[in-house]
Amino acid sequence: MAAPVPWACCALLAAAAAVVYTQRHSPQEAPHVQYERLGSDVTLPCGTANWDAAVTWRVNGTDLAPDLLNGSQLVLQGLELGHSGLYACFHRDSWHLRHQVMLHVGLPPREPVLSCRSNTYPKGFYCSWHLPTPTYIPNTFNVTVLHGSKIMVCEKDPALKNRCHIRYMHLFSTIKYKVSISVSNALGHNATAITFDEFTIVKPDPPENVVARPVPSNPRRLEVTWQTPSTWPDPESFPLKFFLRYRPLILDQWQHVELSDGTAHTITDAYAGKEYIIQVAAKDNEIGTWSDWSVAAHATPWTEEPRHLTTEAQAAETTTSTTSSLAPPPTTKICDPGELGSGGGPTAAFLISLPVTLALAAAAATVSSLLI
Amino acid sequence: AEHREGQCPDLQDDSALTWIYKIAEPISQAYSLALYMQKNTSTLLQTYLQYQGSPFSDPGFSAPELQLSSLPPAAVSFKIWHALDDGERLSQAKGAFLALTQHLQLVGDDQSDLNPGSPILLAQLGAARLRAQGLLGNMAAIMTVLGLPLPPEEDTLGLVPFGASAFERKCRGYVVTREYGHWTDRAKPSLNSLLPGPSC
Repeated sequence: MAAPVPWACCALLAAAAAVVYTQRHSPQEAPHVQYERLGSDVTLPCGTANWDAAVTWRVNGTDLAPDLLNGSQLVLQGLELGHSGLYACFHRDSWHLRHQVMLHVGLPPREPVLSCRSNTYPKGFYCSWHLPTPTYIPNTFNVTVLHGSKIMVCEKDPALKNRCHIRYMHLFSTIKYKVSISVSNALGHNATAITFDEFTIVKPDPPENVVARPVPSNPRRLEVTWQTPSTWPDPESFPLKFFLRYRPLILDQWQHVELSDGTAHTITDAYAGKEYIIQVAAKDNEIGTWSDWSVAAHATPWTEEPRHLTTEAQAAETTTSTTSSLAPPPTTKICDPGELGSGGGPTAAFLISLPVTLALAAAAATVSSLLI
Repeated sequence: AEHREGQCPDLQDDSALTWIYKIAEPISQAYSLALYMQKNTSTLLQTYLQYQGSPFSDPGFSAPELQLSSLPPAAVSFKIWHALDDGERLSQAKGAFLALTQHLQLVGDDQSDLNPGSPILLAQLGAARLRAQGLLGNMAAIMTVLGLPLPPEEDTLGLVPFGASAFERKCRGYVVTREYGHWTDRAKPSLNSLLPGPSC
């Protein structure tokens, strides 16, 4: 029984030595994070290793070719986005990890694009920003708002990360607002600012609930109703005016109507029987710009119910198959010109004694002459 | 105070006509006057500045934080504006236009002295004062009909210091002509809220 004990002792000692060895030569630190500019060249040293140390480099677990090495240093030229990743160098023989670099390839920020708008005048306004081109690495933005010489708080939007809100405007003054934004990332920095009067950035949201309905017995009318946008806080003190546009789907040209008050309008020149598309926009009576167009409403003007079109077809059959059948088939309905709304009483008696096709033609001729 | 919509008239009896003549009519007249005034306020300010020489006549001249203690500033935070009810808004506007008529008189006198050979400026100042007075009268009538308390008309100028320098007088005129525009901007929504809303 004596033999296993020394063997176990040896194994234990070896394990302990291995642990001590790894602890002294490869501290388990977090990888070093490095940002480099797209298109540039970078040389990554293998931590504190000598230049002539024998090392192997890997990126994201994949071996890298030795021709990229300059001694123990990794040389990357003409960095592309694909070069981003976790680079690790290992002692060639023992394969223990010497150094790790998390490389991020990106760009310094270009001048940000900043714009402000008030759709809740006079309650407040918001500012939005974005970068015209991506940087591919994290950016931080800092927005400051000055009203004259007073610093105002711009509250971050809970949902959108590139927007903040200034509440409670200062009314009836001509002290301008100056909104400045600076953006920075690991590779650079940029900034811009805009200055404006509060009333120049006013643009309401579009009107809501735009509904268009046909008007019974009126083939050229459409009744349109809508509501002021719910985001506009005080339409009594700051009333909105509206702009309505409409066209039949089959045409490209819009008709326009500007309305100074009210939230309803009747279109009276619609083409009969054509489907229309209608939109409304809103603007404060005096200040700011027009809203975007509302969601479109569709409607077709009222049309009279069509007559039974079997009349003509059946009459054609009747006249060709029989030589003389002067009485109209019992299922047809005589088209009385009086029903077309233009009167024509005397001709009614005349119609009854003729074949239906002739009657229809006569009725049509009578109606058209009366409509002139 | 929650801002309430202008009340809907009860159009069932004679009181409807009374309402139209006594209330709606003066309100819409006042509104039309304010609208008309607004078209001239920036002209008045620009003309005034032109006649005062540098720095007032320099392009882009603006000194928004300059105020007169005797003239209520039109600028107000939304928080305060929103909390005022219709009567308070109207009352404040009326008080401001009373002060403006008196200040415009003073500025007219100052300018007759500083710029005697400028009939255009003096005429514009005179016209502005008359319109302000007209608006003041309209507002007083509206307040009476609405049963709002009318504060006694007082001398807003108080003791005008003699020996104010030419520069001080020019500054004074600048603040007055600027605030005249701002108060006109403020008068309109003060009147708007008195009219019945679209739901009536």
